[in-house]
Amino acid sequence: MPISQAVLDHARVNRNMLDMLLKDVEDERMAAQPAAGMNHPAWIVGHLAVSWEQASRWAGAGYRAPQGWLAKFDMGSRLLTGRAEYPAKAVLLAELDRGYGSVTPVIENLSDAALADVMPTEGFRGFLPTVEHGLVFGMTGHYLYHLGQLSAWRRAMGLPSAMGV
Amino acid sequence: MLDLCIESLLIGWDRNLDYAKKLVADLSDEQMMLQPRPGMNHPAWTFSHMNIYHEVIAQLASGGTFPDPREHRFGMLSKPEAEASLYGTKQSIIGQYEQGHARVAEALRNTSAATLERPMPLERWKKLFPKAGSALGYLMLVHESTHLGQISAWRRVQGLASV
Repeated sequence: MPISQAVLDHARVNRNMLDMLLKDVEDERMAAQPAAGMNHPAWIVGHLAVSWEQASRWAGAGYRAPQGWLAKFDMGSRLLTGRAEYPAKAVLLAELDRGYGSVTPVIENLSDAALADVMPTEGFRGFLPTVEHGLVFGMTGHYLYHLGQLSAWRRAMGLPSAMGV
Repeated sequence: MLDLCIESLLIGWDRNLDYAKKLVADLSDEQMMLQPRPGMNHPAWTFSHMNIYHEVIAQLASGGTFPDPREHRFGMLSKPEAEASLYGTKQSIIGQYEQGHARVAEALRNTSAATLERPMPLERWKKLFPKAGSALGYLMLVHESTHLGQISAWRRVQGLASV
């Protein structure tokens, strides 16, 4: 298996971390914005879900996010604050799991040659030159930056630390 | 196989360095200390906290030992303080961060399977990370990236632009 097992393991661990961060966040607070411009949990979870579509395309997997989700959650989408603008917490998390479950088995079996392919998304090529760069970043840095945002959102909402620091 | 694992870790590690530099590029020394809401980590504490793990990672990758980072004055038991002299200037903090990143990358490029397969030298971590190499993914990719994400959200609270 060419891609680091540590990276794949952490894609799973990250999902557990997300549960820790959201365990005491009720559905009605998922779109709360304690300061203007702060990403709220509904957007973050939806964004992480549609990120699996990006990884799916790079890895040649079949996962596609539900219709309309890219417009609502992709990079550059407008953050809305009305709770009704976003799916229920359970729906968001289920879609995230569907993406993970569809794409990671394909990534696990990618060949060295497939991982070394030039990044298909032209706009990312400057800092993620290959498919491997994109997949590693997607499953680690990108995912965790957003979990860190969620951690800070909790503090801004007056919720206790979920992870100790 | 080892080379491929190291390469994957370093891809994420290098991305973190780039992102971290962007997150603080427009911050003043004073802004590094701002705590807009109670309990929010400010960048001076966050970087000082991340910096203590660079030596830990380097020692894990090069066969050495290290004191428990939990006990460090910027360890997980510490809280962000308002006294700027505890942390130093932004230039100093970020300089240490960049040097630490380079030291870790060098240690990883020179490590061996035997070094990473040895038992975890820190007793407290043995259950979670039985081997020295078991902790690398968590320390390099999970721990640091999560703290960088906290700074990203901290920027939004200040009204600063996304990077």
